[in-house]
Amino acid sequence: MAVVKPPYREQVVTFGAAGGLVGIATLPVEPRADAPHLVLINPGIIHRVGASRLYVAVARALAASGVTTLRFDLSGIGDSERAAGAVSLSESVHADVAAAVDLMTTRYGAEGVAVGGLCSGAFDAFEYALRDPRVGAVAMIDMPGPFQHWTHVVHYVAPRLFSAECWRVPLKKLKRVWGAFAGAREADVPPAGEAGAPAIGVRSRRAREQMTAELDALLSRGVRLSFVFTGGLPELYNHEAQFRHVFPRAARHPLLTVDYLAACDHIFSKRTHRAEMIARMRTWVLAAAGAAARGRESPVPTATPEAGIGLRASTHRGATPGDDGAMTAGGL
Amino acid sequence: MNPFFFGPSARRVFGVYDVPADSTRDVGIVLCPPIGGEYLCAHPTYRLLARLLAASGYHVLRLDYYGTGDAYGEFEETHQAQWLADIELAITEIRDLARVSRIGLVGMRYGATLAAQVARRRDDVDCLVLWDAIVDGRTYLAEIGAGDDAGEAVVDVSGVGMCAQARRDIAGVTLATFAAPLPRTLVSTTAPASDGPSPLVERLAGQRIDVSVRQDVDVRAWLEGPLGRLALPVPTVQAVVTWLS
Repeated sequence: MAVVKPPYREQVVTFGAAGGLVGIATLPVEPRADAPHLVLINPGIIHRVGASRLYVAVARALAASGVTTLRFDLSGIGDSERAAGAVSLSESVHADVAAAVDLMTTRYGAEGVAVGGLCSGAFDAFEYALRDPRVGAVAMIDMPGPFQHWTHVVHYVAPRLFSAECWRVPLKKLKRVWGAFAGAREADVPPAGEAGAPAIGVRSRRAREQMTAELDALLSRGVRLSFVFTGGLPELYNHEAQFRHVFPRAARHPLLTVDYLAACDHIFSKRTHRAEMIARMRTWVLAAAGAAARGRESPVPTATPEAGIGLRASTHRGATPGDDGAMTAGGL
Repeated sequence: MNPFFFGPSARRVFGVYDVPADSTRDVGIVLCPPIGGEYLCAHPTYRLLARLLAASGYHVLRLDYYGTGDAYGEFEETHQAQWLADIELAITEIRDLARVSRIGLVGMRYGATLAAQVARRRDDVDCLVLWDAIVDGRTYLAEIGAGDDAGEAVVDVSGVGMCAQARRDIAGVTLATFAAPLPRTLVSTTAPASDGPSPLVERLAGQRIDVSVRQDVDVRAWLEGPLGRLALPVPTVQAVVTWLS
């Protein structure tokens, strides 16, 4: 029987301070020059393969389309070392992702970089992009954030009020109703620093006003943003138009896309759900690549909304947080 | 620690080799993970176990079967004969890497069931740890939600696709799967003592196998952990290291 070679090869990479971070680079056999290089960040404490091996599947599917991906473990997760020193979680994550982006640019020649992840990985990707101008695109799946809105509460509560099970257990009903309202209220409360433990993961929540400003900042920088929400976290997100209700200005921006995959659960436990997510990710990354190519042909290679990932990142290459390798992270 | 791909080019598997700082031991330990979604949850526990074993002077190789973790391939392409072959491949690899002549196998859940089958057919395996081994394949399939899909070619099971051959293989597992000859064996179970003596221990003792038992309600490493919660069964990990040492 003939052996079919995969359209990619994979390399183990160790990098970061003292080589303590471990990742797998998935390299296309036929790389696409205009495509961004993608860095995937751990979902919670799941190691670099991702929930239901989603990151492995995404990386390999993208490689088949010419895109290089690095999926790696943050300090203290998976096989990466718990870095020495005591810094905040956000600083530790930032240093680790910066080291990953450095690796993509120096070893793999990335001219454009996208970062992304599921759950806390989405949160980390968003946070990182705010601080590193090399990042031209961010893919966020089920990102914890201030997405609750009164329409969300209605969507969350209404089906439960009419469920027989809910009425059979009045206490549970009250708890659920209160929980939904409490979630909406919490979204309006400014985060209490790193100490505040959110309902999802261990990342602090941000206020809606703060995130509005951050979205504006990223979009005005020309960063492409993809938000995907599943039906697996109805307390976070539960209907198609929710993002638009909360962030109406950003939602209209041509660089921002929002998808609501109601049938999918949070960990993409079914093959059909993973296939759908992978297809959307591939379409999004290749659209960014196409925009990069168009941007190159433009006489003004700057960060217009249509300018691509590659141009932005190459413009800023070298101004790199973490270039000195001075990473002091406390791990998770 | 040295993560790497190994095996034939058409079937690359993945391993993490933990090298002891100082060792005169002639035993290499291969860690055989659970399969399916349980693999993911068990990863932090296996990492801890590998480190503690390396600190005790053992060469340790953590294996990702083909189609799992970082290995090439898809899980739905695989079945038991291939998982067993992957363990054999890992044994060959650690013998080559560490230049050891004796082998210890540690398996958790279905990984334990596989490890017992490999240990039975080799003469270089000195010790075997069966950590909450699967001893009733049909019950296990029902537990993971694959019990009623006999007709489908591939079914979704805890985040992976599982083929019909794999389900048939698993369904065939019973206590009789655990048969002599086996090396000295530790049976570690999280079943409460109130459940009575472990049927597996009774089975092995009845076969005149040198068996020890650790029965303690501890964190179930294959269930706990992901999505923000880190719960390691440290007492069980320490007990395994102590027994092996």
